[in-house]
Amino acid sequence: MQARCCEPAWALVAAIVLLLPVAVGDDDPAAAAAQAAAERDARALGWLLQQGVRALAVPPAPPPADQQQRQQIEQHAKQLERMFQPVLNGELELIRRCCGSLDPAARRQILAAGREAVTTVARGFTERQFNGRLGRDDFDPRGETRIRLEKALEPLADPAEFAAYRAEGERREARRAEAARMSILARVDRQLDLSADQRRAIEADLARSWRPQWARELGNRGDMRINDYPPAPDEAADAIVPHLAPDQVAAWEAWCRAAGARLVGQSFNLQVDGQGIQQSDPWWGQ
Amino acid sequence: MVGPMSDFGSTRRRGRILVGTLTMLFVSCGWVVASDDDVVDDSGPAEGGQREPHQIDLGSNFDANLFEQRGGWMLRTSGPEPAGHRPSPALERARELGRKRIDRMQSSCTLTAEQRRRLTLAVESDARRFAHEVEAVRGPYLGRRVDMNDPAGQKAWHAFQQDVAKCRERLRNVFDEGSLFAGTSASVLDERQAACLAAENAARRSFHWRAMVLETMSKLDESLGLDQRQYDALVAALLAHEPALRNDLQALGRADSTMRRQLVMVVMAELDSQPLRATVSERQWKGLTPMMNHGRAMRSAIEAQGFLELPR
Repeated sequence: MQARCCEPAWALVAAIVLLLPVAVGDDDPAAAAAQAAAERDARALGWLLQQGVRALAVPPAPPPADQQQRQQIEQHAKQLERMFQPVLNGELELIRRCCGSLDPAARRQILAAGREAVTTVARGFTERQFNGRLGRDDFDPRGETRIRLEKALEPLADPAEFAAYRAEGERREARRAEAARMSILARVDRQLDLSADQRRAIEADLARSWRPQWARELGNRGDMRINDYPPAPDEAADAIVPHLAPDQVAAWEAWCRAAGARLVGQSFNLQVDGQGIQQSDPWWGQ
Repeated sequence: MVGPMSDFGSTRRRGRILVGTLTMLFVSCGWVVASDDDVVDDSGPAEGGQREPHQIDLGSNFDANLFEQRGGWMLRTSGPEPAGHRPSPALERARELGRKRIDRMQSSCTLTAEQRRRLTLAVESDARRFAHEVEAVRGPYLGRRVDMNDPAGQKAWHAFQQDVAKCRERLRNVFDEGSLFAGTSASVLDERQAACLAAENAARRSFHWRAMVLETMSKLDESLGLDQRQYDALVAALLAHEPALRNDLQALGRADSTMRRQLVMVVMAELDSQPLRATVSERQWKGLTPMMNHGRAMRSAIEAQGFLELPR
């Protein structure tokens, strides 16, 4: 296959123009070498033009493997942006409720920051899917979106309103933590048949020793069955085991052996299903 | 729904480690897809080393679907049953459920040895009766092989599903009202014990409902951008309308996260919409309405799953 230009002279000039910027700028040896190569190519192209060359055949180079993967990531990330949109819409709704005095120009800036956050988060999520890092680092799409919006909002919002928004965000994190603790406790209860007193004691201990990563217990992680058990929340064992009766401890140990975190791994659970506020709010502008 | 987003590398690795033991959710396959819970298990070798996925042995699928599946359908394509009658696990399963009930009574209202003995006898009687009933349904399927490419085979599969569903329903109710266990419990427990047991059951029901509500609300919280006042109002309304969750843990364990969320949306959909609508903004209401409509449509499916007490 060859690329053939209809206007060869212009094509060659364009090629020279395109090649030159590559070499312009840095002082480092690599940049200098690139500049020298570009100048050499430009001279050669100029000479060819003078010799009457009017067409240039360029054999297409196969895209390198990493480039192919980058393309796949880009495409997949684009599709995933829809999945993250409700997170952005929900966050924008909360900002609107807390920071109602934002002027239209500020709103547009915040919306732009939010859209950029969705793109970045979808990209980060997809990259982790492709390289097997999903669930292995502290990547938090919600947190990432919120941080970017907060950063954009802070200089634009009334300080009191911004403080109100932040306070709401903190309360929401506390609610998530409580829901995750309840989810852990409900699974333990279904498995070990706790008494009401045991549930109260474990709930209090889970709150005392709360770890943010336990929030991944929310959602459908608990629906998995491993060796006919649901995943054991053994990361929270210190808050659970001291409150169990001896027969429950034996059952707990069997459960952890059969379906502990070692076997389950750190499955990533985004818990977004595309529902929520779907329509974009005209208050934010276009 | 976008559920767990597993990373590609670790899923493959875990899949290798846990093959044959991990019942993956959301497996779909060709013609047998009826719901997200359907599972096709073709991991075992076919007889003579030849795999014929369209040939289904109903006998080998009976126990798996009655005792290993929680609502969906499992399809084993791994060859016919070995020769000879394999006993049904129905008796053991029912005994185990009964023993758990007695243990729970023991921990909440401290049974005497005589009470425990009588309850154990009642469990044994109910379990045997259940096993006998299951065996009568299961027997004709043993060694019966059908071709799922053939309309007659598909018809047989549908009849099989109906029979298994009846047995599932029976398993759910084996110690409920009308059973010897229920009658014995009412007669052997004294007033104090009965009150203790009722209080413990009520506490467990409320606890599990609260867990379901908070799990679901954590999702709405994010997608609707609720503030604390709105969240508190919605949670209070939901907690005040606690449905009649079945209290046995087997039933509760059957409720996967999707089902739990849908149940909460069913209850939300049945609340008075005026105060609910006044609690949220117009935009939030537009986001909430489709979820409630979906929940409303799910009531009969949820009831069919058997984790609600139904009026008799």
